[in-house]
Amino acid sequence: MSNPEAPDLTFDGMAVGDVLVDSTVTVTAESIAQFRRSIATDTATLDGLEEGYAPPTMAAMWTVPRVMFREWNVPVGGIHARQRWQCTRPIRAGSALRVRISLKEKYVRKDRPWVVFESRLSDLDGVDVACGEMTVVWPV
Amino acid sequence: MAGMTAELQVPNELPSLSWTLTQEQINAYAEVAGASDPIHVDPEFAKETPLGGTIGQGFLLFAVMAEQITRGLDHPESWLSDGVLDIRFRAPARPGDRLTMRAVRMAEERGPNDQAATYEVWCEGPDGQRLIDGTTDIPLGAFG
Repeated sequence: MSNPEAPDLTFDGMAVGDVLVDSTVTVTAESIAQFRRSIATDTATLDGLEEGYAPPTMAAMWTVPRVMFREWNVPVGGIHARQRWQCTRPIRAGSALRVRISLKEKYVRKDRPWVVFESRLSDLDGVDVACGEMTVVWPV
Repeated sequence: MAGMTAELQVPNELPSLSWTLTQEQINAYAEVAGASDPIHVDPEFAKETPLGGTIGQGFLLFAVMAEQITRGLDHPESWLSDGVLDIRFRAPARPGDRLTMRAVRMAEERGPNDQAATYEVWCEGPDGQRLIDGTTDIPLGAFG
């Protein structure tokens, strides 16, 4: 749920290139365990990863859902249309990550506003860890 | 796995993963990931929308798809270092839906320098319709 105390994020208020988020998050073992439990299916969750590694798309939650929703008041009703995610380095418990989200594109298609957020995650030395693009049909 | 290529042992299809999406799972994911838009977690709110009920988060299904892919790899850490997953959400998944994630190797590789295998990926809903579709590029080092 978005932060109603934060500034409103609106389609008209965003411009391509705007950096909407530039924050630091910490990956804890507890959050990895909690995430694993939340995506567990009715067969055993055995992804073959060594204990302490974050599952491949876990970092995506530190982009729009966990960070943007904390720093902005984002209107409800958006439609998650497309997601691209690229992993470049494993993430381990105890890691501190820098999260940057910028607006890559905005356009109107079939009378509906669309936005593409670009996320980049890196360690505190600036080494890329993951990146993604999230396409959203913005709520009207 | 059927259809292994002898020289690289890259499977033509990764093991599928089927499970039933529940409101409890949607709520658990909302708590950890912050994806708690009322359309996901508030049945009374969702009932009054055109969707008619709650739906699973796109990121949740994305994560389970990545789980299915990872399980099918001999060296999943390779995918953590150089993997790509690119999908489109076509239709919502609802609590109670039996969902199946699948990944089938494409005839034409799209990975850079022929160092990755490209798979078509999708999520089948209870009627066999594709709720999600896309591709994943898996480094060859993840196999064998």
